[in-house]
Amino acid sequence: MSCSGDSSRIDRHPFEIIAFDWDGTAVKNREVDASAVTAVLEELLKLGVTIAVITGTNFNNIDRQFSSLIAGPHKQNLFIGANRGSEIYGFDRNSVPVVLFRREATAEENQLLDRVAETVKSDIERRSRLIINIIYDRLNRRKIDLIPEWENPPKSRIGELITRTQKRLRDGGFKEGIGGAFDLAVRRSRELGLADARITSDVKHIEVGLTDKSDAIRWLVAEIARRQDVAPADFLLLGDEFGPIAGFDGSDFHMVVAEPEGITYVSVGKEPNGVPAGVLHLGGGPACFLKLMKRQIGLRRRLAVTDDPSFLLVEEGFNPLREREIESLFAVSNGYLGTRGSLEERNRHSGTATLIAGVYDSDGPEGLEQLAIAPDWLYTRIHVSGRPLALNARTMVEHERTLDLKKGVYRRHWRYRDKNGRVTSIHFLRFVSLADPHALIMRVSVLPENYSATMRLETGMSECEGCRTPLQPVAAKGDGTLSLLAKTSDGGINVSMAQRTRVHQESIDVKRKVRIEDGGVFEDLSWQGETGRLVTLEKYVSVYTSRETADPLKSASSHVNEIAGRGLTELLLEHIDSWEERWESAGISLGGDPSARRWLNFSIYHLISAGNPHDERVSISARGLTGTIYGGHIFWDAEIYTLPFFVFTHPATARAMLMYRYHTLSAARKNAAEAGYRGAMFAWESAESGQEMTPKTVLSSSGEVVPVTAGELEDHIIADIAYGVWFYWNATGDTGFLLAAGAELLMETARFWVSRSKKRGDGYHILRVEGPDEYHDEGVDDNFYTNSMAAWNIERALEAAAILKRSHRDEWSALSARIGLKAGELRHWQTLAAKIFRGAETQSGVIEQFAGYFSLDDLDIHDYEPKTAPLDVILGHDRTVKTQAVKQADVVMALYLLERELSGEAIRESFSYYERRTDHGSSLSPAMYGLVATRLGLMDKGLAYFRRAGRIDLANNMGNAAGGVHLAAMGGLWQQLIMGFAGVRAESDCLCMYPRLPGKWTRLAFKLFWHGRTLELEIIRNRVIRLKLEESGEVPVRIFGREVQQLAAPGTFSSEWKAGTWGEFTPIPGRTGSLEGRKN
Amino acid sequence: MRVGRIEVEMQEKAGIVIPLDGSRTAALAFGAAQAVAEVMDAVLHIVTVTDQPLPEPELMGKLGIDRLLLRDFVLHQEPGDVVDVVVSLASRQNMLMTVMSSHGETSNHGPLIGQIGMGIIQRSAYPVMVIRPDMKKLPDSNWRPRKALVPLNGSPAAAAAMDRALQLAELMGCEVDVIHVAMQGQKRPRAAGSLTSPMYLDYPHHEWSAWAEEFMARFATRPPSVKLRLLHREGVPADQMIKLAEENGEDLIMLAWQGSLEKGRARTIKRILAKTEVPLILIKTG
Repeated sequence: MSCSGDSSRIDRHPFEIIAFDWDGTAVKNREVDASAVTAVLEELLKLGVTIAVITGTNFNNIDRQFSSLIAGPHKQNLFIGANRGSEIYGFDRNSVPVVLFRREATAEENQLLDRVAETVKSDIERRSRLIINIIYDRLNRRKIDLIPEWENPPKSRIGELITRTQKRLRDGGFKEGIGGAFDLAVRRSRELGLADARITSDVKHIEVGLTDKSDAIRWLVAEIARRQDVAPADFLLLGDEFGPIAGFDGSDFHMVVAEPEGITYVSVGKEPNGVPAGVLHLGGGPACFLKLMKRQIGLRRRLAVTDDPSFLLVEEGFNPLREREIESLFAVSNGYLGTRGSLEERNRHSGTATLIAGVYDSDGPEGLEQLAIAPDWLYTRIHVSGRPLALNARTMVEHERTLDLKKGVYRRHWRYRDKNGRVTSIHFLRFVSLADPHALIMRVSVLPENYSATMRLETGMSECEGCRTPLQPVAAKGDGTLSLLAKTSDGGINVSMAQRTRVHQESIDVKRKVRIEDGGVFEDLSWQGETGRLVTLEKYVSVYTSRETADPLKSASSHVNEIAGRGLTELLLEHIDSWEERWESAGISLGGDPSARRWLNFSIYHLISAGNPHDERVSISARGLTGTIYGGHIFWDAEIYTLPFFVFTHPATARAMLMYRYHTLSAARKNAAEAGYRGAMFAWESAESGQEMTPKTVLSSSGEVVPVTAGELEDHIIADIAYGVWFYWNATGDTGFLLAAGAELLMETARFWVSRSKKRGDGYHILRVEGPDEYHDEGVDDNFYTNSMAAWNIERALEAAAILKRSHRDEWSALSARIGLKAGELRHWQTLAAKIFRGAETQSGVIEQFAGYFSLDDLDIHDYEPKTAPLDVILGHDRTVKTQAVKQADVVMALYLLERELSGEAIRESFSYYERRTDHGSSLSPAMYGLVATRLGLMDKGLAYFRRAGRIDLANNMGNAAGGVHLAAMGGLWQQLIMGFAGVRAESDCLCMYPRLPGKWTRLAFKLFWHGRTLELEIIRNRVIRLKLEESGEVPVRIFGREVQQLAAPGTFSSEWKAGTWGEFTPIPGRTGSLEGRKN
Repeated sequence: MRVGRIEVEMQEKAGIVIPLDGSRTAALAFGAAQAVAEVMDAVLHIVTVTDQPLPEPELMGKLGIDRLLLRDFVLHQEPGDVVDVVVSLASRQNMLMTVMSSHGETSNHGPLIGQIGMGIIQRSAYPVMVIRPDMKKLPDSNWRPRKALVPLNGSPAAAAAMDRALQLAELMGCEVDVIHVAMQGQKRPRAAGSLTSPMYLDYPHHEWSAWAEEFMARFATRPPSVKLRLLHREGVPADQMIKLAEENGEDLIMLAWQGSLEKGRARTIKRILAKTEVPLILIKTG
């Protein structure tokens, strides 16, 4: 039997303390095997829940059936309230029971109890023919047995017990029955001087005692809830007899206490006479109890730190040298807003920053747009006896930061010891909600471990001091809700933050004071700290900008009240659910390489954090929202490195990224016109407007003014954006996007290339560019990557035009008119694309990177290993530019992106040639070399590059993550896995694959979105590929090198490894379930 | 025994220590010591170890010091071991630096540094400025260091030394050229918190300024009021530093070291000690 009532309110709320009656509630009776319920309760103990058994019986009975089956440190969370409130047992760290509280009756009280019981017995016997027994050997109480002939009646026969007891009493001559006996006991107690007698009855007995279950509850409230700072709302109390029985209160009704209000009471009993007000009746007995407890486990597991270490980023201690790096790695972000993993109290090593996507500021009329730094919403400082706690090696007892990548939750534990030996333990938790992008949440718990003193906690929102482009606070309010309005220096964007705080425990006397200063608004909370008493503060912050709403101040204030009303737990659960959903589609299962799993999880976490599917006016900048370097500028990294991840795992985000380019088309057209070209010339560095944000010059570290050529020469970004558009279209078939924006982007970028190409003889050439290899930054001609991508761009525009002409004639007409397409223009494009010079090749098939590259000084990059700096630092720019040294994947990038256009020989020979000459002076490089190496079957090399790419931010001696994490490298790592090791290609007519796993990898499994459906892939190294297709219809799939197969969905198919290659897919009969989950 | 102007405020002022043994070689460092004491507004503590103290005028004569040129000074005549006396004095809270010649009276000029000098630099926790006696141009009391060259090896252990170097430079009014020498065949330091040149320069015009900010955040306790330039060279570090010092007109070199000149260790310091034409300040790490 399960719960008969609606338990949804209980099932959604994770309780901190769960107390319950034992017999009839947790178990049917004290004789049954309790191992099943014990296992469930033990799991709750392990998850940090306080469990308390509240029973009328003695400790040994409960210990024998339940608590003796549990051992371990978690048992310290278990309490047994025995003997009807007279004793509380706990357990020490060795799981040995210890008495925490015992009510010891005095000799007089014992005599009085005897007298009351004996008087009642005598009264009844005198007025009847009945024999009444007294049970004396109970702690602080006496039991008057009304029906001695029925020993141990089971609770399930309560109805029969009432009938038989009443009958016995009345037939024996005591007409008042059980109720009369109860009233008699009350009266005699009062008459004989037992002033505070606790009279209860389980029908068989009338019990006269000094305590009842309410004493145990009051002890829990005073000693556990108060110490652990558990709010009444987080206290669950379950029983099976709250309602009246035979005219008097049920035994569990004594667990209902007047103070504090807000405890949740639940009855799983039959309750034939109903339950008192305030008690939720679910029925269902122990089975319902078990079900409720299992659901609490589910909730607890969702809220707990992920148990898979590959999803945990942990930093122990405090290394000031690494602090800004740690802040980047530990950033929490939801695509709308990102906050670096800074110390809440800040110190001089902190590079605190909160960045809001799209909120750019400029440092003057001619200045370049930079992401502005929002007020610091983390700011929280704790003072003990008036002295602020500051983290340093001298005072630090423990310090650990954990970022749960699976759930997007940051935690920090800090134990501080002052010069007087006073130890304070502080726990922080923070997240920026993935479910509600405007909600920023923090929790801080403060525990004076060994002292009592005045505590003060100041928390607020303050201007970023020392930041280059801080938002300027212009107004602040502090009437209940604290709010702050800040502006960009040019006044273009308003940002508002609003704050509410809530102290967990209402019983504590916290004095609040609001401070409004020039730089921000703060709340001071003071209280008298007591040894071992935890105080928890929840901080809710809401952020709105004038980009989303006309009145950000009003929106933030209203929103913060709404989220504070819902509470941290509910918001956290929603946030965790959103992350779970994202991991469900983006998670990777990899067997045999725990380090690689960790690199991938770290990368995927930051990629998910960076994307914003809700805003088409922003894209992903080089360091996302994790750091201030690059000013939030958007490069080719967005389309070539990070977009594919979103195309395959969250197409809505990919679409928003491409729409950002569409919304900056007008600036791109203007850029092209100013440079003397047609179409759209997208900026190499783009921000809000789409205008070129690359500085023309920069002051070098040695004080020289150095020209920056990338903005002028790295035109390949225009084709890179077109590549992103086509890749998205291929993988999603999103016709709406193609018609609304994609085709126009393709046409306008193609038109740029047509105007950018120069006719020389019979061919077309693209002169004076800079390819991805920025070591040759003085303008090269016919860069293979640029030329090939330009030609490809034009061809894809023609293909898009053909699609529109064929299937969407009205839209084609509108587009043609909108972009002023002239008659014959497309024919010219076709001719030109075919004649764009695609690079010279040596006899062995090596493609020349640009005209004249082969005549440069040759070198073998391996001759310079190991080294501590990129080659151009070692050789100097002037020397490097004269050599064949390559900074990053250039020709090799084309070998990947344009694989179908190139011969196998050209790919193999070119990779080998450039691999020996490439320095990987950019974080964008290793994964791309690894990807091509993997496709060529060079598995050791591929794995070495994968390792290198995975460690770019996670190695602790690089120092280059301080300005933010390397998102392009992360996108590259993901692509090496999916496009390289799994060999996935998004082709126009099918999804293609050819997995090759390194020797140490046993299994790889992941999901991909493909044309609106989910494909689930599982690869067992050199054995089998399993492909599960959802939805219905046919899915074109092919093994690389084989013909396209139309696989009928839904269904599961397999390809087996035979004779050194993958065979065709064949259906797995009867297989409809999931592919073995995501086991590593 | 002390002679000279002993005043309370002088004891509280910052100090520069110079050990002198009466030899001409040791006295070659006196000009530099006077100069830095002047520019750092410090008291010059002249230390000589003797069992037979002399009256001040006689001692000044013996040491070859013209008293009229000195502003604030304290003469220390102490018995005992020279290294013990100098290190003990230099360890007082308000001492900024010891200035000394690499060689003294009894020295065999073969080694890079004399035996007593070796003892002082190895045992001093505080910076020691070493003057090579055969430098082409020895600093005199009018010497005013304007530019100091500080190499960066990027290891966390060097962070404290860098901080000290920047503070000394600030006190001397020097600009600082921080040089990172990338060397083929050299591995990156493995220790957590290391910072050499950035290994990846995705977009160099952004990366270098960010790297410079990070450098300052790691290696300067507070922003120094000195002008700082960051330079990069490739090659053997000592050779590059000597070359750069010459090309850039550096007035001194400041080096972090771990306190050992044993065979096979501190190659850069040894090479610079042998060839430098400017004073070298050694700052001990750890």
